[in-house]
Amino acid sequence: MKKFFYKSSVLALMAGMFLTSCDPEIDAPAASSGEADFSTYVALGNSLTAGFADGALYREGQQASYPAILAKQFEQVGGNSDFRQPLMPEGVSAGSPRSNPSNPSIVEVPQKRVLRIQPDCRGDVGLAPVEAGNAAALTPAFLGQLAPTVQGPYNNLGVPGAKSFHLLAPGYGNPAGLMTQPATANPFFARFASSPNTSVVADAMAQNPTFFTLWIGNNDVLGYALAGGTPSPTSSDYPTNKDMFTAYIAGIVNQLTSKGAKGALGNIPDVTKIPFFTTIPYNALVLSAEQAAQLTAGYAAKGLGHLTFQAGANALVVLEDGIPRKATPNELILLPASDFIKCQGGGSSTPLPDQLVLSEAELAIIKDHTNSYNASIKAVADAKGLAHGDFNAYLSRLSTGFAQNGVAYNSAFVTGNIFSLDGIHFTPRGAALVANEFINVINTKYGARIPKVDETQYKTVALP
Amino acid sequence: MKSKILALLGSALISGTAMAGGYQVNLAGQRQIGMGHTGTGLVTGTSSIFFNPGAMSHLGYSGVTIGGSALVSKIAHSAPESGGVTARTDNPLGTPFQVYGVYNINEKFSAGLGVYTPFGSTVDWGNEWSGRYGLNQLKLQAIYVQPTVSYAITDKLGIGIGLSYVVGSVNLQRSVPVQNQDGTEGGLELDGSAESAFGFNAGIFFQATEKLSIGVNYRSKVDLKVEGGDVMFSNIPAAARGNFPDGTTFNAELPMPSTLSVGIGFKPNERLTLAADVSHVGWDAYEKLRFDFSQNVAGSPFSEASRNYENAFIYRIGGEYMATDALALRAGAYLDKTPVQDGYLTPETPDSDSRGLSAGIGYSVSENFSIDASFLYINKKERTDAANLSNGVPGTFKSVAYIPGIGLNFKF
Repeated sequence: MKKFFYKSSVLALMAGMFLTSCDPEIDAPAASSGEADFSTYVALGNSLTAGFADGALYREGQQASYPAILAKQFEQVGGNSDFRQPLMPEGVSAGSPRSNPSNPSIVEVPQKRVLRIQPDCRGDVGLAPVEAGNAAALTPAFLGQLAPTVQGPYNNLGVPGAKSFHLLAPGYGNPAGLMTQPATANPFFARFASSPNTSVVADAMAQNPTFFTLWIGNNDVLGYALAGGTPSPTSSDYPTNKDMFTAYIAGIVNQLTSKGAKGALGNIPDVTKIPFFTTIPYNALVLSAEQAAQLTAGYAAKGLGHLTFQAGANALVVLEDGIPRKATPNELILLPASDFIKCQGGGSSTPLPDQLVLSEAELAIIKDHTNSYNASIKAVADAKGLAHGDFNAYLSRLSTGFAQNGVAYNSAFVTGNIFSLDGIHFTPRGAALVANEFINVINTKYGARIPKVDETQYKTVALP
Repeated sequence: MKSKILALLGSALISGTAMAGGYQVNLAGQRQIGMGHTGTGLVTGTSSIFFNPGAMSHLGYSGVTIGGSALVSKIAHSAPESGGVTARTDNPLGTPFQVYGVYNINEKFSAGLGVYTPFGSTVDWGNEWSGRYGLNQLKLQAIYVQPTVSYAITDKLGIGIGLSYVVGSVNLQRSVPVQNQDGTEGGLELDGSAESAFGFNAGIFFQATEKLSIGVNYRSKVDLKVEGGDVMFSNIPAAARGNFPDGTTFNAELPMPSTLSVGIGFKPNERLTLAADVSHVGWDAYEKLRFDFSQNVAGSPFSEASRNYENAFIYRIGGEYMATDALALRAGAYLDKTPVQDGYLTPETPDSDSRGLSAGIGYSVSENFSIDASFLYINKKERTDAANLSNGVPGTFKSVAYIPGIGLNFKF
């Protein structure tokens, strides 16, 4: 009896050891590069390509840039494992240079934004995206602190702030051009340009790329939108001329394909669908009956009797061409108006200035240019046989929202999981989803099987 | 000896993994597992308490059976277009068990008590896979205690009925998609015991000829209800804590579906027994998985996901051959059709049509003591699903299970 049990337990143990090795398998089609060659991949573009996030360029954002994610997936189909990015030093972040609010002659560089629980301008304690520390003056010494921690040549050539034609411009990374008035160079390219007079495209071509992604054109129209549509047609912030854009994009792609590289182009999202423009509703002016009566009387006293207010939600008052009027449901209020509206009577007793509002006419200009640029991008992609990522459609889909692997995604600020704390650039999760969109169109165009990335392994907005 | 075995069973985790259709675990008797889990149309021994109480009065002796299985189950997941296996379960060993005791009161009457575990599931995907916001781990247990009486109307016809007293519990863990500064994520755990529930198990057995027997068995649906289960949150960032309040409780309900089986037994000669069963499982009772919370969680007083299971059939065949007077050799197979419709696949039971192959031996050590050993291999069809209707996890799933088991039979 005892012997029997001993024997059978030994047998059971052996069977158990045998069985643990019998794991179920799932046969998936093998990864393949199709007709494309991913051995040398370069990424060209602007801040979205650079991995700019939370209002600044910093290491973690760069490491989760969509080109870095793509490069990891390309490794499985013959891509080089040494995808180089001009990484920022640990703990340093640099936003887009701006004028110091109290001394406009000083140009300063803000730090990245983080979420903190703190009182807002009204004293209400809540969650607020704030700059992590004080801005630094843009000096050669400061720029020196931003030097890449990795040697070039760099596969990720994304330059925050770059417009289409900047990629072709020699000297766009020349430190001497940073201090001129106006500046002719971009500090983010000056960080890693291979020589003072090189261009982004030249630095790309010097690597003899076999594959490229190009996602450029957002800033050609975004600068105008961020300025509330105020720039005049002669201003450098006015959207890039449509015909010129067509020529620029063709010029860039001609060079990139001149040695036989294949690639993917991304088109431009509708910038007005990002949280920077959609977070504050046009009717964010919430009044009590008493406040409404006061405000109505106040405007009547100024001879603006047609501006009347009711208890509840009211359209914000905006100033256009010097005349106060009410915002229309189709107009967009820019995110920086937030505190002004909350605490300084902005949009109420003090109309919102033109640069905080995109009027219907301005939105029409943005739309017209975006559509034209996108037509040019599509035409070039088709003519050159390149993959084409329709991020305009993707962002439209995002603004209605979708769910994936149990997570809800939409274009909401902070909670939408896609956009980082500047309301413009992606979270790492958002970048991973973008990478998968690129993979989609590359697989389709070139008959490749590049595995998709598990987007859930990338962070969303971190909460305090 | 007996007490040792009982102690062993008691110390083991009472849990099976969902390796039959849905979360049903058909491992009710070692002899029958060897025969493809047929038995509705047979006198299976004391396990007729489960397979067909109508056959119990035809047993002709009193006896006790103690048995258990070691359920090794493994599931692989491949995320859509990921190019390979992206996650594997690390399920603990499941130990479904059965204890049956039958007392032969007289030629006509017998009474018995069965304790068995026909439903249960422990699936552990861990908290890193792409489906972690749907599920990290689910542990579902249900234990049936079934006092049973059987009456032989004639020496050919028997009826029997048992009252099932059911206790159970559920523990579900998943990740919450809120992130701390250090990148860690929140966690949610639902833990509760089911209120006692009742059902019944009734059967008719008819020995048509010396060679042919027929049985019909019906096991009723039992709804397991959890009231006031604990909802526990972990690692939620301060800024989001208002959305995930401490001290929340939940109510939930899960149906253990009805099963109607028809089976035949055929003995072409003294040494050979053949059996075939068809079961119809009333899975359509499982329409949704809903948790009602005592306070809003993530802004909602409940969480609900559609399941919309369909009724499903199980087809079984099995045989037993007495190689000697003491040694029985058994084999069987079954096909268990999935109740899960397209679009409704879930990581807790990534179900598909399931194929079972079994083998077993029985050995009579003495007149009063015999041992059954069984081995069942289950292979579920690879299934790819968008899981877009169940809030599940999209991708391809493949499940296999290896289930050795042993049972001891004592006759008095």
